[in-house]
Amino acid sequence: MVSRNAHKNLLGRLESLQEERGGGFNIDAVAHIVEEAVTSALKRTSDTETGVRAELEQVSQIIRSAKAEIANLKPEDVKSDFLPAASDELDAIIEATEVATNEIMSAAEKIDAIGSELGGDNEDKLADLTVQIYTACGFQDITGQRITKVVGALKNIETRVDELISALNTGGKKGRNSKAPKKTPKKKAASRAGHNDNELLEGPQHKDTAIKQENIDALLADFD
Amino acid sequence: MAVDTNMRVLIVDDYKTMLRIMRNLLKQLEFENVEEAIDGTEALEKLREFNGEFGLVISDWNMEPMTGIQLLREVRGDDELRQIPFIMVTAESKSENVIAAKEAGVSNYIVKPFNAETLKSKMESVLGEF
Repeated sequence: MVSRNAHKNLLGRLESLQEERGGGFNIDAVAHIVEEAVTSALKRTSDTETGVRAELEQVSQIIRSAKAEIANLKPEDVKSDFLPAASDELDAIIEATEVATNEIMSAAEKIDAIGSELGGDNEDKLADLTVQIYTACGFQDITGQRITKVVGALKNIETRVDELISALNTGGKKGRNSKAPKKTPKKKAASRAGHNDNELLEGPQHKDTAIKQENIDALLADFD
Repeated sequence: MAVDTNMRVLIVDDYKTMLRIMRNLLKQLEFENVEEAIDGTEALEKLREFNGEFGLVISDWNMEPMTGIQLLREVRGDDELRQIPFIMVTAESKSENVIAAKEAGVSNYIVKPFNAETLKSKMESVLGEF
């Protein structure tokens, strides 16, 4: 747009000069006009370049600040310490609940055995109660699967942090899991199960979104 | 005709605690002839080892290396095993899962967490009342 205007302006001045001179050209006058036009164009280019350079400087400064801020967050520490520590804590929760569940189960089995010795109504009453204990112990399976999903999410975050560290080239110490993150056991099963089966492996649903046993029964009945 | 509670039942789950829970629940229902497997591969080996002499398979879905749905397909694709009732007991509770399991030939489907009543009623719907 600028060069088009300059070109138009130059032509206008040359035409005016031509009219003044009755159709002829004074080479000095033409040279003067062209020189003015070139100087003006160079100045405009220079102004534009200066503006762009200033904007690029600003962008560069923003990137440097962002990089410094991210470096201050110590993403390598997040990767090497915080994320593995969080995973370890979650693994410890799984382990502790498994141990506790098995202890509860052992106690319930002993109560069952005592009930058998007692016989009669007491045996039935104790059996009813131990059945409730057994089914309640199923929580460990569900919480274990939920925690495994969270551990999987942490591994995913670890990968992203790894990519961030590489992009920023901040260096720093290598994390315990500096190689590609391990897949969780459940995900391994999913990846071997093929694409369609993989999509079906999501583990426990949130209670607000999970379909109920009666809905499943109705769904199965639709097939009959 | 009464259900033979001496029938051999195969329970399949990668959580050993769940196997223990299931074994105890089955014991309360007087099914004491119970075999265990921790994934589909081991389950298939046991089914073939006993020449399919199982009255029921109760399997989790999410296991490795062979999942419950893969085990179900193997069972339904095997002439010696195809008649064995198969109940899926799983935390996978999306409609797509239920439909996929039904299409693969599941006999019934229980979503975790479940209670003893649900287990009993689903077993009765597959085997008959006991």
